[in-house]
Amino acid sequence: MKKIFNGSRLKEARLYNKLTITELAEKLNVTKQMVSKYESGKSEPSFEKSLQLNDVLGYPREFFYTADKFFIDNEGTFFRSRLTATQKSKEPASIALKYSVIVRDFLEQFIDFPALQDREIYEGIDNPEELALSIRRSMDLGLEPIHDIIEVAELMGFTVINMDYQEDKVDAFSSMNTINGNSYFVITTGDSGSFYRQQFSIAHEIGHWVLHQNINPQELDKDEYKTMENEANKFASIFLLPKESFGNELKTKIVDEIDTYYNLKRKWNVSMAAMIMRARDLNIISADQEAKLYKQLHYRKWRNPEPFDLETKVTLPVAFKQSLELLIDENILQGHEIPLKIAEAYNLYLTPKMLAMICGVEPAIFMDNSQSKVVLKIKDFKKKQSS
Amino acid sequence: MINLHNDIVKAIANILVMDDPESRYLYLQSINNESGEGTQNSSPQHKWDYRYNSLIEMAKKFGLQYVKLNRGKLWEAVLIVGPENELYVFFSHKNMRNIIKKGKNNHYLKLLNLFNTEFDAMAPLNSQMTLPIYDSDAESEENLKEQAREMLSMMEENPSKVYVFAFDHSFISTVKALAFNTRHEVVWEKDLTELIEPNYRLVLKEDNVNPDKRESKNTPEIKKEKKQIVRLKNIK
Repeated sequence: MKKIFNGSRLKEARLYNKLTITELAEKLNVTKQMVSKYESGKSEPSFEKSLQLNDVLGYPREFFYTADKFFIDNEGTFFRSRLTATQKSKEPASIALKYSVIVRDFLEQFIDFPALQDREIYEGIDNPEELALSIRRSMDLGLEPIHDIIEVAELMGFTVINMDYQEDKVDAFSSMNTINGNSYFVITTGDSGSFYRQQFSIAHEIGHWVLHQNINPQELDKDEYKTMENEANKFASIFLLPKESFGNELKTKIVDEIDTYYNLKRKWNVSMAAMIMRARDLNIISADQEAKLYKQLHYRKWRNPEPFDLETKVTLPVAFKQSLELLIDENILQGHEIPLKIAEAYNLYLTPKMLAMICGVEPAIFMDNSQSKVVLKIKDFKKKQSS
Repeated sequence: MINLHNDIVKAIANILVMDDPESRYLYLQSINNESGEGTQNSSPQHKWDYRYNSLIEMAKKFGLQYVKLNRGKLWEAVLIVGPENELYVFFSHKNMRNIIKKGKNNHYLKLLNLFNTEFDAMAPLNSQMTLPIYDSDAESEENLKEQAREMLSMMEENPSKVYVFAFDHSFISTVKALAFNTRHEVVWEKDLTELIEPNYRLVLKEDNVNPDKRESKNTPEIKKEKKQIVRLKNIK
């Protein structure tokens, strides 16, 4: 049976590679009208051109001759800026997010991931301090400092993926997705910056999950979007720095001396700037004291980067990596079988490189190591000897 | 001293030091400078228009009147009219100081201060803001008052008083409200910085730091075992 070229897959691959129609046309040596025709299904690439697609776009040829065998219901993506969603650089991020949902759903049949909490239980809690404490309680975090927000997020059942392969800097973003009746809240770490910035950034995304249920951010106007972002920031500050522990500890120290925040940063794993703002929010310091602290930060050249920012390693999610290791170590699946099984189940053909990016592993894990790729042949030295 | 509801004063303070990344992005896009590497000569005007237009929106929201003061082809200032016909004007702290110290006598701030005769009886807080010798030529003063009245011809009555909101957004955001007498001496001042809401967005500002990475684990460094996040389903 003749395979039908899928124009929408070509568009997806083009957008993932951040190419315009004109740029792709140049690479394929066809007119831009022709690329438009390919994408709209009005024309099909020749066999020769279809072979080029793999080289140009990095997707297997089969990808372009199959159609989605899945439907993902995306409730809207929480980007840091309302305008972000329209930027070209965010399209590959959204596509990678879709693939991560598929990989997560695929792994679900073999792996017990931490269950995503039912966030509706938090719907009635209006006080953000109480809300943050409830989530802390549900995760047995008590009032202690959070050592690694990535691990907390993974243990809360979020799908966390790291996407630092992008040339353009993309901030963390998140979205709720449903596929095959399963719901996954995916947090993409984006360009994390320092470990301390990542702590706040991921706590901000957890804030969206709990605070902005049933809200599609893409439907909000400018002011609503700003309010939503401020709420997520506020939640992050409360979640990371509870009033009952951080606030009380700070009160026992010299609150308008920057060294206090220097020392607390090591313990609370939050930037000094965020702690100063939280101190102000809690009315532990006045606006004048806040200004004094910023002046001290500036004077000591601690503003950007802050102390410890450069030497503290940023953490990466591990759930996907551990899942793959379990599957392979326990002989449930061989690494090279995984892309094939995903393709079978979802009609989605991804290269080992793309899967590796989503899962945070080396591409070699998805390659068949049982068959040597090196083909050796004995030299025809007998013939030479006889002549 | 200011006859405005606290919510309005708070809104004004926050508008004056507001930093909207969305507006910044759209501005750079509109001048073909998305990368930010090109020129942006119109940026100060853009910021002031944003501030003024946000103040207009705020005035409408709270049922206050506003005046657009035309100062030649280059500048249009927005003034808020309070419930007792008092005027509120807006300046950066640095610009306000320059105007009071070195500005022409017919600058609109100085003209507006001439309506503050009521404050002349109050003792100045800090006379250093003004020139040591004030040219109080009676004839020119009358002439300036006339200019002030002409400038506010769109208002039915002369303003009862004029207050200034001055902000500093260069390093740390601060906002003050001030009143001058007709000799341009500060007679009243109130720090409104406490009303500025903490802006956690600054915490998430790109830090351009790119440290090494490590796998997430919550166990202390001394424990070598890795914490397992996931486990295999019982499918064997």
